[in-house]
Parts: sequence; C-alpha cells; structure tokens
Amino acid sequence: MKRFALVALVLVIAASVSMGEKAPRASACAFQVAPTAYEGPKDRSLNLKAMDLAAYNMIAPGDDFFGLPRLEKGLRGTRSSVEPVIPPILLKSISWIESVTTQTTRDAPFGGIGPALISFDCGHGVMQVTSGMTVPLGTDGLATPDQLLVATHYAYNIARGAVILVDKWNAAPDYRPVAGTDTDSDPSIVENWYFAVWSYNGFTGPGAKRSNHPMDPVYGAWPRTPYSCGAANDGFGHNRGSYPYQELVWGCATRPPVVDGKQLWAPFELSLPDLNDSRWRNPLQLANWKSPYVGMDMPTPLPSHVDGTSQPPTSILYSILGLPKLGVYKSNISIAVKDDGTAEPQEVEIGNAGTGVLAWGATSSASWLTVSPTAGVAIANDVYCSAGDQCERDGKLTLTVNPSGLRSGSQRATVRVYSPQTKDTQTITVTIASVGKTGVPGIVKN
Amino acid sequence: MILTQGAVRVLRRAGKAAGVVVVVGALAVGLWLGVSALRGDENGAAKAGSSPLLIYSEFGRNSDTIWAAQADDPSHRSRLTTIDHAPEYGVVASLSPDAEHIAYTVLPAEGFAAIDAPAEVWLMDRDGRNRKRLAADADLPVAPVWLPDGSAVVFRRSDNNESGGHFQLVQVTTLGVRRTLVDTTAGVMPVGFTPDGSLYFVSLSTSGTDLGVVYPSGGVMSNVAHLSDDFARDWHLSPDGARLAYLAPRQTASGVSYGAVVLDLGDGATNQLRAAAAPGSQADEFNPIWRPDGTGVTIGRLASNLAGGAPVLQMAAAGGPVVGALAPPPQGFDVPLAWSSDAGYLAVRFFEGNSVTNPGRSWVTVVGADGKRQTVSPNSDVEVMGWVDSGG
Repeated sequence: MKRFALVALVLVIAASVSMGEKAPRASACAFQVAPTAYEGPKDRSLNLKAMDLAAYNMIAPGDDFFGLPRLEKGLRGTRSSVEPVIPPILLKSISWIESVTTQTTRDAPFGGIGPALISFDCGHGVMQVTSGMTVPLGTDGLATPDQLLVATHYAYNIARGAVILVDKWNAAPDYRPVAGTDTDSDPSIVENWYFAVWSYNGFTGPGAKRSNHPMDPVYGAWPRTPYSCGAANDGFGHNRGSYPYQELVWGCATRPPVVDGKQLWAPFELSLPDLNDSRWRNPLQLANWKSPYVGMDMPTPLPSHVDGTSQPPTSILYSILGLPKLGVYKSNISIAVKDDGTAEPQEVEIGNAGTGVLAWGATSSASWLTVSPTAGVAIANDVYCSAGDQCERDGKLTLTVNPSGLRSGSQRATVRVYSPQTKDTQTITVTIASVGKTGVPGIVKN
Repeated sequence: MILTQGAVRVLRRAGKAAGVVVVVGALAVGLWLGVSALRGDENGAAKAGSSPLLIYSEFGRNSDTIWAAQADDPSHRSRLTTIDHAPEYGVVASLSPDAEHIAYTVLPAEGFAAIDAPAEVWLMDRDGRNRKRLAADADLPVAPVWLPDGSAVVFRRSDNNESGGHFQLVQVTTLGVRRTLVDTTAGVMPVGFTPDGSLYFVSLSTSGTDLGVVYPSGGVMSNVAHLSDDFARDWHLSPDGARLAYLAPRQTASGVSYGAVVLDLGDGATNQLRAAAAPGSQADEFNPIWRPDGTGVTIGRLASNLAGGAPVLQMAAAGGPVVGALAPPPQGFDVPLAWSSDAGYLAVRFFEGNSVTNPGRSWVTVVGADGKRQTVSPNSDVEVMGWVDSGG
C-alpha cells in the first residue's frame, strides 16, 4: 500500500502540474455580456486565410500579445531560436476541433454579426482562446483592448491562438518533452508539433480528468479507428470523446471537414508515433509521465511531413484586416425619465466607415448609465454579408439608465466608444433632462 | 477498510455460490424478456425469435441511435431509441445483466461539448422508455458498470484543481441512492462486478496499473494485483468472476506490443497467452474477451508479418496453443467485441489496415460460426453493448 500511495502521489503531482496550465473555470469570463463578433462565409475562407497569415506571423508582428515569439529548436541543452512559422495546417485543423472554425455562436448567420462564441471554460472564438480570458483584466472590471480583439475579431483571435501554440512549443524542454530528437526538433516538420498540439488542449495524462495520453485506457477502443472530420460514413471515427486531442487534430488534418460538398483544405497526411516501435512507445510509458517529462523526448514520427503552404502576399493581409474607421452616428442623447422613475433604453449604432471588420469597445462614465454589450464589431461595405442589401453592418450599443442611481435634477454622463485597432475614440454625451422622483417604482428618492 | 489477501479469498468464496445463482437467474429472465421489448419500427426490422440480436449504439453528430440487429442478417435491424447529446460527443452506454435496461453517460444536448464537461448518468429501458437521470457529475468516457442484480450502476466522477486530481467510483441505485465506493487521488476505472458483488477496479500510477477490489461489505483493497509496470487495458472478468483477462505491453526484440494475460484472482497466478505468437514475429493482441461458458479467451492478433487477413483466435485460459480461429477478413485484422450467449456469433471490429498505429478504416462485423461475415453498419462509429438471445 505504501508503494501504491507514493507512486499515486507522484502521478497526482504530475497531473496537477499539467492541469495547472488549463485556466481555472470562471463564472463570468472576460465579459459580463457576450460581445458581438463577425462570422465570415460558410466556406470559412476568411478564417483560413487569416490562419495562413497568422502562421507566418503577418497579422501583428512584434506585438507583445498578438505577435509570434521566436521558435526554439534543437535538443535539450543545445536550443537555438528561429523566425516563427507554424505549419498552417495545424491552425486549420485545431480551429475545426475547437470551434468548427467559427468566431460566433450558432445563433449568428454565416456572413453576419452575432454573439461571440464563448465556451463554459471561457474559450473564446475560432481558436477557443482561454488563457488570459477568464476574467476581465482592464480597469473597472472591464476587458482590456487585447481581450476585446480576441473575443470579437476572428483574425486577432487566430493570431492569439497561434501565439499560444508557439508558447506550447517553446515550453520544451523545460516543461515539456521534445519531439524530433533526430531532426533537431525542426518546427517546419509538422509531426514535431505533437507535444505542442497535445499541450494546446492541456498536457494532461493518466490521473487527470481529461487525459490526452494516447495510451490511456480511458479511451476504450484499441486500436482506435483514426479520427475524421469528413463524412459520417467514410469508415473512420467521428466521436470526439474517443480520442486524445492531438489525434483529433491529426485526423482532421488528414480527413478534412466537408462543407457544402467541398473539403475545407486538401487532405494533409500526418504520422502519429508508432506505438509498436520502442523509439516512440518507450517514451510514452507510464513511468515517464512525470514533470519535466525528460523521458518522453522522442524522435520525429515517420514518415514526416512539411507543410508547403507558401507565405501569403501582403494583399491578403490588407483584405483581412482592412482599414476600419470608427463611426458613431450620435454625439448627444437625451433620455427622459418617466414619472414612475423608469426610462426607455436607447440604442446607438456604431458604424465602420472604412474597410474590413472594426472591433469596438464602450464604457460609461457614470454608474447610473450602463452600456451593453461593452464590445462588438461593425463591418464595412467591403465585407461579405449574406443578407446583401438588408445586411446589418453596424454594431448596436444599448444605453440603459438605472434610475435608482440618479440624483435629482439634470444629469450628464459620457459614453466612450473606442476601437483597439485604430485607437480612435468618440464620445457620446448622455443627458437626463430632469429628475423629479427617481428610484424603483414605489420608492421616492429626493 | 483494507483487507488482507487471505480475507479476500474467504469473502470471495463465500459469495461466489450465491452470486452464480443470482446471475443465472438474471440471465434467464433476460433471455425470456429479451426480445419481447423490441419493436420493429421500420422496414427490415429485426425479427424476434429468429436469431440472437446484437444491441449497439450508432453515433450521430447530435444524437446516437440504439439498434437491435439480427445476428444472421444485421441489415434487419430495429431502432430501439435515440439519445440526444452535445454535438460531436456520443454516449457511452452499457447493457444491464438482464439486457432489459441501458445505463449511459452523456453530455446533455444543450450543455457544453467538451470531454471534461460534467456528464450525466441516465438509466432507461432498452426501448428508451422510462428514462431517469441518476447523476450529473460523471466522467463521460467511462462506461457505467452494472451490479449483477441490475439494481445499481457504478460510474466514475472526478475533480481537478490546482492541488491535483480527485477520483471517485460512485454507486447509484436505480432509485437514485448514492454511495461512494472508492475515493482516491489516483486515476481509477471500474472493471466489473463478480457474481458475488465484488467490484474490481484499476488504478493508474507512475508504477503502472494495479488492480483493486471493493467487497460487498464495503471493504477496499487497492493492490490485489500489479497488472503491469505500464498501461494495462481491455480488462474482462470471466463469467464466474474468478479470473481476469487483460492486455499488458511486452517488450520484444523487435519492439513493443500488447499481449493478452489471464490472471487467476484466487491465487494470483498469471498466464500469458504468448503461445499465439509465431516465432520470429512481433504480434499485437487485442481485447481478450471470455467465451460465454468461461472456458477460454478470444483475442485479436496482428502479426508484423501479416499476410492476408488476421482472424480472431480462441485460446484456452490456461494458455497453450491456439484452439480455434474464426473466419478471417480478406485483409486487415479483427478485434473481438462480444460473443452471443450461444457462442454462435461473435461481434468484431474489422480493421482494413495492418498496423496498430495506422489501422485504417473499421466496421463492426458479425462473424458466424459458419464463417459468414456481415457488416453491421456502413458507419464506423458503432459501439456494441451486447447481445439478446432470441430464444428461437
């Protein structure tokens, strides 16, 4: 029993280290109310283009939050760094597993604006970015501009997801094993991202609630039919609960999703570690599941593959990011408080007079005036919208007066609308003409 | 309460006779009731009384379908019910000992679609009636395990926080009364109940896979046997509860493969069914299941020098040479899943590939004693729950 208890303790410690990277569950994530976001066309063409850009660090190079850090390569003790390039196929496959490559919920139309996708563990958008999104990190309990972009703008969300994937790669060798001990851990070899992809979902193993260890018997079938994102009757597996995360990503890359009869990307063969070969099987032994996982270093799974997707031209970058321009159509709003102390909410439209997708945020200067949502998007005329001429391209901001917070007499507050992309700010002055009786109905406050 | 191994044997022997009676009785009732609840609700429906019926679930993106298919012609099948679930995550179901009920874990359709989201445990009649939620804090991938008398199931639940993992095996009766059987910081999974009501379970740690037991009295022994220094898997108790068949990895000159092992739970002796391995070749063995009469074990086996298709093999539990083989696939290999109670049919998963790492496409197939092989569904996403004897 003593031996059992000791080794169990080791395993739990290892598991806790692993689980520690998964952000804790939060009840209210970065936004109290889900912001709006833009959903591109059903063929995911905009998202996929943005992934090529993000893979080549073109969306926000040099930015502390959205720019890719350099990639480390090499063996333990001989690491060096190279310009960051992620195999684009990984971002594409991960995005489908995470969100079926959507920035919004199913309530939003393809080619339109709708509620941003936020999961139960605060995963946001296309890449289900969780890290840094569990609580608002700005002042006054509000989201930061970076958080706002992650939640609302698909391209920045994808860029942030790419940063996180690079961070997972760079966690080796100090906190993660090295894949590719025979190939200098070359990041251009897609199979060398095996542990980084595993870590994107959580470097978890036996002893964790959600294990991604390929040998974990919690996955009931052995061997496993490879996973597929393709047609239901293609002879491969489609039940996600039966696979560790990296096998979902590998399978989806090889057997891509089909939308309206067309594959979203060309099938990309990827190799998993050969579990009959000691070179890969031994590192995955249970005994090696302990931080910092030195024993799990392994050679590149064979045959290995390189993603030949070429670097997109700059014109693609411009078409994705555009040159948005903040346009708030009202600068003054007067709100009347009724005799019963209530006031009708007022809606303000936020437009984009430039091009592309504009992300905006809004704050109120007064506690009696709330804005909702506090973030969203507005799309310019050049952005695809499935509703055509009937398209709702503007963002909608609702201003609500809380009469119980009002003093008697005239009141004034300002709403600040800003864009984290353009750094533009516009203000709306909100005036309560005159307050006699205020407060909730039945309660007089003079 | 921790018991010694000697006490274990005494308790097991005492409960064995009574347990066998309970199971035989339950099976008899199950056989009689088995087909009566089936309703042919579509063309080509399964016919009661013609051949054993295979009960399986078929995955759908938003709901799974439970089917009953005739062993002699699986294209004749009846839809028993459907179960809605969160997108992309199917149910994990198990058939009760009397084959009348189904227990399953499921992520609610309107809930969050993630493997670590809280799963619900539901109980229903085999035809989908009388659904009842028993728990809402289960782990999705771990199938509920039935008590021999069908009065309760055991499911796994777990919590993870900054200080580590915490796992429980929880028994919940069909009336919803809960009782925690195992509470540990190690990763545990239920194996199954013996006829006398002892629950075996495995624990994973960095030292390997250990077998534990919870006795009907509630006493727990965590280290009944050390199954492997690594990941053991695919464990199956013999019908009489006296032995455990499982897979354990073994190192050979040419690599690593899984081999089938039979553990005698009474004296702790193990038999590695290595006689199946041809000299000079590496062979992976799969899912050692017991023949219905408990006299032997059926395994899948894929040799590195495979030529043609690899059939499932029948082995004596005590080891020794292969005593039989079923009709092989034209290529690839079979993994045994479940025997019909009369041993006339075996459900297998047929893989068209020739390696564990890249096994290729697969389909559940029924292999008859006459050598006939029939695919159950064009979809790969089929999980076999068991058989219902038609009695006819």
